[in-house]
Amino acid sequence: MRKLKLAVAVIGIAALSLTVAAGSLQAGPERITFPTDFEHKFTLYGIIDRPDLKIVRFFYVDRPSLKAAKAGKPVPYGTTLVMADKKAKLGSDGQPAVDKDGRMIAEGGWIKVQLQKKGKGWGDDHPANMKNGDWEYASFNADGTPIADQKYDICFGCHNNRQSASEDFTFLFAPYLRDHKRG
Amino acid sequence: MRIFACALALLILVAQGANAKEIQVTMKGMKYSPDKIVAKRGDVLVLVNDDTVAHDAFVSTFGFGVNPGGLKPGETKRIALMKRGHFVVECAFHDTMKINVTVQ
Repeated sequence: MRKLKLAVAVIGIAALSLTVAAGSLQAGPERITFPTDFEHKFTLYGIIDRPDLKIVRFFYVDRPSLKAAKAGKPVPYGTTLVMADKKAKLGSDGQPAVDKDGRMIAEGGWIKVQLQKKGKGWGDDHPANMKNGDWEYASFNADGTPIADQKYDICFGCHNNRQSASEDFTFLFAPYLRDHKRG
Repeated sequence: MRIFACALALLILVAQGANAKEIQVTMKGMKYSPDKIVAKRGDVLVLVNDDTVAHDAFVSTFGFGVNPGGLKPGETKRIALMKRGHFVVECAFHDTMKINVTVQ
């Protein structure tokens, strides 16, 4: 009986160690998988022209999270925000061409897709200066393969400027919700 | 009649262009100044960072989104106001810095 208890304890400790190790390995961009076909399955909530980079940025959110957030609930765990870039159409002067409203014109397919995803307890694995609540970031090529040499300090650093509860480390999603909440 | 309509439209466009003005915005002391702007379609915001730290001036309002990029001290960026409506310009680094812009 004593041997059995000892064996159970050893197995328990081993299982716990494996769980902790697996959790540590997953901290960071590896936690986020590429959302295939996001441009059709998600909702577009913003477009930002970047004349300095000669790109147009499209922002999408998964629909269940948008529905919850629009209903006034906190942005739920599992929320996936997408920032996807396309090249801007250029004029003969090499500068971005614009339409009648002064908006830049995107052309071609995606050139880069960056994700911001919220997961329960994810922030626990980051030091205080690299913590954005429970959000993580990941960058992908257009084909969904991870960008191996991407540095994420700049993501955490910049989004850290939006710490209030209403902003929740987002630049566009919070104002979008403010302007589009159900009445 | 059609020629007259085209000429009138062209005249209106030229007149709008002639009346377009530059509206200078400074960023001194962690504040945009002015922080409320009523402009006309075709006007241009000229954003001048005359502060000692880097700033930014992006528009997150749906339908008006633009980010001309960060501004180091001494740098200037421009945003052409070609769409009527209301939007907010804000600094990505300092969330208290905002400008309310109405384009008529």
